[in-house]
Amino acid sequence: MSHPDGIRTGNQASQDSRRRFLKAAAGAVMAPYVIPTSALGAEDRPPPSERIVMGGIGIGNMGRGDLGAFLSRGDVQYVAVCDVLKAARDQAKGRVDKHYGNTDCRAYRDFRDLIGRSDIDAVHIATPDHWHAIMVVEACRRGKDVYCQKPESRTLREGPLMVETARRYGRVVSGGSQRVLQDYRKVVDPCWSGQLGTVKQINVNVGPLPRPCNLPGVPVPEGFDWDMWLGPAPWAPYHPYRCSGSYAINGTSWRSWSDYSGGGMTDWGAHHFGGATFAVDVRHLEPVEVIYHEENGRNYLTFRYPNGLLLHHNHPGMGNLEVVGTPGEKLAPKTVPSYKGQGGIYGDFIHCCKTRERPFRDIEIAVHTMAVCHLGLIAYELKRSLRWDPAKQEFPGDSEANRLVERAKRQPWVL
Amino acid sequence: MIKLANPAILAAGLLLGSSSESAAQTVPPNTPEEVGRLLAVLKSSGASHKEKVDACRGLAVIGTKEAVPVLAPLLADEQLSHMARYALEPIPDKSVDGVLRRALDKLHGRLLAGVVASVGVRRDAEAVPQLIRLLGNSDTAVASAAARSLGKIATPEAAAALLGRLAKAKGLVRLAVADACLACAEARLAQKQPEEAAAIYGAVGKANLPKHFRVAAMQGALRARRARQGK
Repeated sequence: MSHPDGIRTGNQASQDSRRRFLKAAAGAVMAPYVIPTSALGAEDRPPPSERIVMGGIGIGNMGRGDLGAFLSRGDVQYVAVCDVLKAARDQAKGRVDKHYGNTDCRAYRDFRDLIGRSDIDAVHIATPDHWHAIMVVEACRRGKDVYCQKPESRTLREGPLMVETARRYGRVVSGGSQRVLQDYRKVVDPCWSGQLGTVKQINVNVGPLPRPCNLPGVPVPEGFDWDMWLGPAPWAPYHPYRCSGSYAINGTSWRSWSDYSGGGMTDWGAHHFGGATFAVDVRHLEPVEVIYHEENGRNYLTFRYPNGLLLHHNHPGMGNLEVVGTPGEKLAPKTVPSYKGQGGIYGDFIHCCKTRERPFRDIEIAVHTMAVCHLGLIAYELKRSLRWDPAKQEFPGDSEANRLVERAKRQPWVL
Repeated sequence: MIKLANPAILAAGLLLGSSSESAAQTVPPNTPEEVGRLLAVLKSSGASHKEKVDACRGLAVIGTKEAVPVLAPLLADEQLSHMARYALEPIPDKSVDGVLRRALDKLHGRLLAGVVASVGVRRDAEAVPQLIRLLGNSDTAVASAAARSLGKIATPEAAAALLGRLAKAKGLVRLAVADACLACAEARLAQKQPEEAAAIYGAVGKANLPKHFRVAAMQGALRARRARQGK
C-alpha cells in the first residue's frame, strides 16, 4: 500500500515503477508528449505552484457541498477525501477524479492519514460537531490550514484550545457560517450605518436544545466504521437516527443528541448568534453574565456583554434579530467588514491561505459565538443565571457550572 | 425606542426557535439522595450497561468525594472506563487525583491513554514523575497522551523531561513531544518566566522538526525576547 506521504514499499513500489515505465514507453511511441495548458496556468487556472492543495474530512452532507465549492475553484487542487462511511468516500473520490479526469484522489477512512500528508496545504472539516475540535487541533499540529463547518465546538473548553493551537502554528482557521455575512444584511447594515444610535438590545430566536439519545442498537451497516464515527463521544450502539446527517433536529439525526451536538442552540445558533454579534459588533467579546428568566412557565435568557449590550435568546414578544437602538441618537457610520478574495466564504478562506491574513470567520471570532451558545446551554441545564469570566474561561466561584465546561474524551482521543 | 425587525429572518426564527422549554434536562437534582441512588446503580450487579453509563453522566455533574471509590475500579473496566473518567474528571476533590495516579501504574493501552489524558485535564502536578516515565511507553497513544498532559501541566520538571525526550522520540510521539514543549514555553511565558520560555523555544527551533514547528519556535523566541526586555 502507498504511504500517505508518498513513501512506497516493497512490491507496490516495483509494480508502480514498472507500470510507470510501460505507460511512459507506450506514450513515447504512440504520441508526442503534451503538457496540458492548465498545468502551466492557462485557461483561468493558476499554475500548480500557486494552487492550494486540499483534502476534505467528513464529506457526506455539508462536506459534499464544501467539497463542490472548493473543487470548482481553479486555485485549488483537490487531492484527498476522508469519511468513515465507505460509500461516501468512494462517491466523493469518484466526483473528484471525474472533475480532473484522472484517478489521483486518495480516499481515507482515518483522518490522521489525510492530515499526515506533507503535500496537503489545507483541509475542510464537516464531520459531526463532537469531532470538530480534535480534528482542527490535530490538523493545525500537522501544519494545515483549516476550514471547519459550524458549530465549531461541542463544549466551552474546546474553543480556546482551537484558537491556541491555530495561533501557535500560525494557521489560517476559518469557521463555517456563511450566513453571518450573507443572510442578515437588513439588520447588519442599519446597525453599522449608525442610524439606530447605540444598539442596546438584540434578540435571537433559535432552538431546540439537544437531548440524551436512548435509541436501541441495530446492526452496523457494512462499510461503516462505527467506532470512528463515535470517536471521542461515549460508546453507544449504532442506530441510523443516532448518526444520520439529516438537518432535522427532531430525533432523527445526530444534531438532536447532546453527545454529538448542541441541538438547534448551536446548529442554527452558530448562524443567528453569529449574525447578531456581528450586527451589534461584539464579535470580539464574550458575555460576562447570563440571566435566566422564567415567565409564565416559559424560559428565556439574556446575555450581558461587558459594554452593556443585552443579547436575548427567545425573548417573548421579540423577533429573530430584532434590534433595540437609541432614539434620537446617530453614530458615525462604520464600514461593514467583508470577505477577502473572490467566491464568498470559501474564497475568503483560500485568499487567506495564500496571504496569511485572518479570514472573516476567523476561529477566534467563531469561538466567541460558540461561547454564547454553550453558555446558554449550561444556563438552561442548570435553570439559573451564571457569571462568566471570558479571560479565565471559567464561572467565578461556581463549581457546579465549571463542571460543565468540558467532557472527558473517549480514549484514545486527547485534546 | 428604535426597533428593527426583518420579517424574513423573524419567520425563520419562529420556525426554528422558541423551544428552549422543551429540552430534556440532563442535570439530576443535586441532593445526597440522588448521589446515593446513582452510586447504588453503579454497585448493582443487576443494572444494565446503559443504566451505569447514565449514572456516570449524573455523577459528572453532582458527584462528590463519596463517588470516587465507587468509580475508581471502573477505570479498569473495558466497557465503562471512559464513563468513569467522564464522571471523575470534573469532581472537585483531590481524592480523584490519587485514584487517577494509582491507575497510571496499573492500566495499559487505550485505557491507560485515557487516564493519562484525564490527569492532564486536571493539571495534577504530582503525577509528573509518572507521566515522564510514560513518555517512553511503547504504545504511541500512551506516550503521545503523556506528552500532551505534561504540556498542560507545564512545570519546569515537565518541560525539562519533554526537551530531553525530543531528541529520542520518533514519529508521531516526537510531534506530540514538540507540541507539548511549545505549550510549556507558552505557559512559562504567561507565568513571567521568559528566560525559561526562551530556552525551550531555542531547543525546539534547533530540533529537526517540520517547518511549522520551527516557525512557531522562532516566533515564540521573539515574544520571549520582548518579554525579557520588558516590552
